[in-house]
Amino acid sequence: MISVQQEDFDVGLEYQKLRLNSQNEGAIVFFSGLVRDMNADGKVQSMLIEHYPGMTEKVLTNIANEAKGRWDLQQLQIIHRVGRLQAADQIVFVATTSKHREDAFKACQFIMDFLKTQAPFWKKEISDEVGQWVEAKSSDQQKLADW
Amino acid sequence: MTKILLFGKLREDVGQSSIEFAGFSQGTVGELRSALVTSDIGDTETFIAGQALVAVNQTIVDDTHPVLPGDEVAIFPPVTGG
Repeated sequence: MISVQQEDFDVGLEYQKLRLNSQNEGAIVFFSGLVRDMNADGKVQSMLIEHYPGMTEKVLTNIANEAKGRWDLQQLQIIHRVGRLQAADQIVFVATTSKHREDAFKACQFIMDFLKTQAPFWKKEISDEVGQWVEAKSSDQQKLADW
Repeated sequence: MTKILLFGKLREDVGQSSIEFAGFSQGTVGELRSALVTSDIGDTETFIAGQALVAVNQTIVDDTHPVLPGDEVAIFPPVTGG
């Protein structure tokens, strides 16, 4: 399941849904990403996340399908927030379930690595009402070579 | 005439979320980039020639990919989600 939304999410609730829907799964792995309150230039008070509606869902679906093809997964969930967020707010949630932990771990990391470099989201950090677009990191791009 | 969607810093620099670009009707993505660089759409030429990504019909493509009339074309900076 894939959701691009403004609303916050409850990690505990999402985990329980995955657990209660599980069928012979031995592992649930999840990652949640937060808005950091500092960057290289100082304090970050809030963040705006822009996206490309339609393409975002398409790319996330493709990444999810690629992960399902590579590993033995039962359930997969991606939630990504857009709009204005505050420091320490939750941005992203990725969860995978599998019979065995290795597949769930690897798939979760694979999804995050590809989401960061392929999914059309753009972050703007705001400090004292001054906005600064976040620049893409070459280290994120290099991680793709590991897959 | 090609409609081009803009996102992120590029949208902000141009001051519009989409443009109707008269300098290109069809060709390759590379030709579209060249046409944009020689056009007058604000202070964005270096960005469009260099690091900006191009999506055709919601898929990121390279400069050899064709752009046909009616395609959904978007240009944007490298993505920074997650």
